[in-house]
Amino acid sequence: MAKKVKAVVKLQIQAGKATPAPPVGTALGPHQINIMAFCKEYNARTQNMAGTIVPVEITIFTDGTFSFVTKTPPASDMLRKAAGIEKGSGEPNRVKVGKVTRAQIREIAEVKMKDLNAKDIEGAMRQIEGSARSMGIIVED
Amino acid sequence: MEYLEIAVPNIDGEAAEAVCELFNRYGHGGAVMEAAAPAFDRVTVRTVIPADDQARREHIEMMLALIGKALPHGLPAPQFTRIGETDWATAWREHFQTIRIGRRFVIKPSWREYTPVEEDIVIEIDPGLAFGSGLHPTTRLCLEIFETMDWAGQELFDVGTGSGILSIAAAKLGARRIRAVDIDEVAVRVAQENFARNGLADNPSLVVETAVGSAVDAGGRRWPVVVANILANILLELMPHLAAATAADGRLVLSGMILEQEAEVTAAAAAQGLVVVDRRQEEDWVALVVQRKEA
Repeated sequence: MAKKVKAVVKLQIQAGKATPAPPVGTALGPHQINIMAFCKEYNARTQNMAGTIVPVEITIFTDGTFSFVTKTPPASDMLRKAAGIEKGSGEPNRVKVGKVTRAQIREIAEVKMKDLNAKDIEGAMRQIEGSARSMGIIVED
Repeated sequence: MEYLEIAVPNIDGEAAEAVCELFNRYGHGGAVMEAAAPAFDRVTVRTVIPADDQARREHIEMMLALIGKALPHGLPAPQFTRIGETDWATAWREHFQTIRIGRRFVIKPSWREYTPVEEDIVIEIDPGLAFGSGLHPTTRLCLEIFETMDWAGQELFDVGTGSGILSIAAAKLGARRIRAVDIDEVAVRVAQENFARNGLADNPSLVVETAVGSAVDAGGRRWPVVVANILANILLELMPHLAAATAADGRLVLSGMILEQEAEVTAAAAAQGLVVVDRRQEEDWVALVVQRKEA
């Protein structure tokens, strides 16, 4: 019989830098997860991606066991890196803060493809372009 | 440090993405999204900030209000909860049980009772904020390897000691000299506390040294047994120093790598003239014992 899911916790944290402090500790503690074991696993599996946010999805079962999978970095994080900017625009309609090329959008879409609800790479690219626009990043050909 | 948790409860995926983006930028240590049975399509998004950072709190409140205006269904009011340090640092303890590892080791948290039976080696460990609770496969593999070694009169250099669990195990198996180092001051302090708790500090036939440091800080000598239970990339980086700290006929125990990193670690050891003489695996974690070819 399949195990019954009690909760799903998604963390967006820096690769290789999980610690038992909040918000990780406060999120996982109530679910009876050995936080140290989780942090060590996460850090081991993400250590090569330092400087990037690597989301992780933890599924907690009713029998107290848990499993987790790491996801691709958020599109906004990858767009910031591609455009070489610290943060997106507070007023994306009026204030543009950076530029990315369509080739960069394709690269990001290819990485993000498995985590997106897109039928094909063009659909994924449109989603990434939408994220870029909402951050005040211009997409160039 | 005391924290203030900011939670936006019961929102849909679109709203959660926007709130997560905000929390990633202005929160402390990332954002958490949680969905609980039975409504997995509704999530609560949380982050924390230092409790006394009023300016950051106001900024986040203002940004949440703006996000709420842009969303078709708005956002529920954020909830604020003050979190004291002990709330998270000790919460997991309740679920930390006494465990048996290998044939003889019994790992017991200081807050649990255990009556040892014949041949049991009881290690009382309070991992606190340092790694090495004994629950993790990497530590278990090292303990199993230790159990197969003859420790009478041996000397151990423990690199990345964490909670000090491996040094304590070696001492209880008969080692007479131990040097435990960690680059994390908290780990060194926790290890010292655990050494005292396990009677290492007042054992007259045992010399114990601790230091904040790494593989280069071998105390000016080479060691018959060196253990490094860390992570693969650090093992790779430290390999020349670990090899240099290992005596000519000594053994180096390497743990903390996953299966796919094993070949790289083995190659790095080989580059230092070290060959694998023992290998253990649990799930996809691997521990190796390496030794000089001529030994």
